[in-house]
Amino acid sequence: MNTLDDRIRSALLGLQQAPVPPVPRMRPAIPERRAAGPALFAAAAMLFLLAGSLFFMPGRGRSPEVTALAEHISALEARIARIEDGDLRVLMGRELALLRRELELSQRSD
Amino acid sequence: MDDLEAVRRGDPDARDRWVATWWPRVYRMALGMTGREQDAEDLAQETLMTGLAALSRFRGESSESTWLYAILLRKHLSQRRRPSPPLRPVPLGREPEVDEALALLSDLPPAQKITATLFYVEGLSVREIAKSLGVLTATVKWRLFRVRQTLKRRLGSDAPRIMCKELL
Repeated sequence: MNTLDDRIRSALLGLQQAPVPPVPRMRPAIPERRAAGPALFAAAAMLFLLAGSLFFMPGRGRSPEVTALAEHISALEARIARIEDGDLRVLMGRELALLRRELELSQRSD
Repeated sequence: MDDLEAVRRGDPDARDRWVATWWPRVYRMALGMTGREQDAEDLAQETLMTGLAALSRFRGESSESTWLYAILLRKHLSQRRRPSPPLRPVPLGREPEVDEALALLSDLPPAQKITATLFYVEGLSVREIAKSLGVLTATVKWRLFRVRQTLKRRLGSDAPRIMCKELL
């Protein structure tokens, strides 16, 4: 068995003669900031639309528009919760919370 | 060990030295596994990148080499599960001894391939290989038995001569 081992070793040691390419430059991987993606832009656009709607909305009771807006805000909250970028998620969440607050205040003032 | 600490702290020079130290061994091991220079380079780079990222968790319970070989094997097995890219031409001018070694390894399954390389090329003991690959020593012995069986056939016409010598 030793002879066979020696022969295998001798044959496989040829691997040691393989030319080695130059050492690559390696830097620790920096997590790439993920591209915002279409979903994010859609969410941002909806946010602006909502802000516009609130601005122009007549302050009258709990109209169907108010209900629809509240539902939109809830839907947006769910979409924002899925944004992977933590900073952006917090930022948009805050904006949305402000809009919701504004909606609530407009309700109360009626 | 100081150098290892420096790598862990993120010293770029220490990191470059660490990569330069391991690059030839990891590359040749990767070449033995993949059989192709380009794939070996990719595999070796991925292994060392993973090693660098995981170095903070390396507690020195095994040698660095066995730890890196374990990463290499995991990477190689996960790459094999992905669809393989089209074959690229093998560069000319390779030493015939390298070709012979790669041809011998080419017929072995991955686990036997790395076991054979660690045992015959790197000179690791059965126990060290078992620790590196996370298997029983009996498994390593069995794999080496299978390697011997396969390579005995591959070594061809010389095999009977070996048998006769052993009988004498």
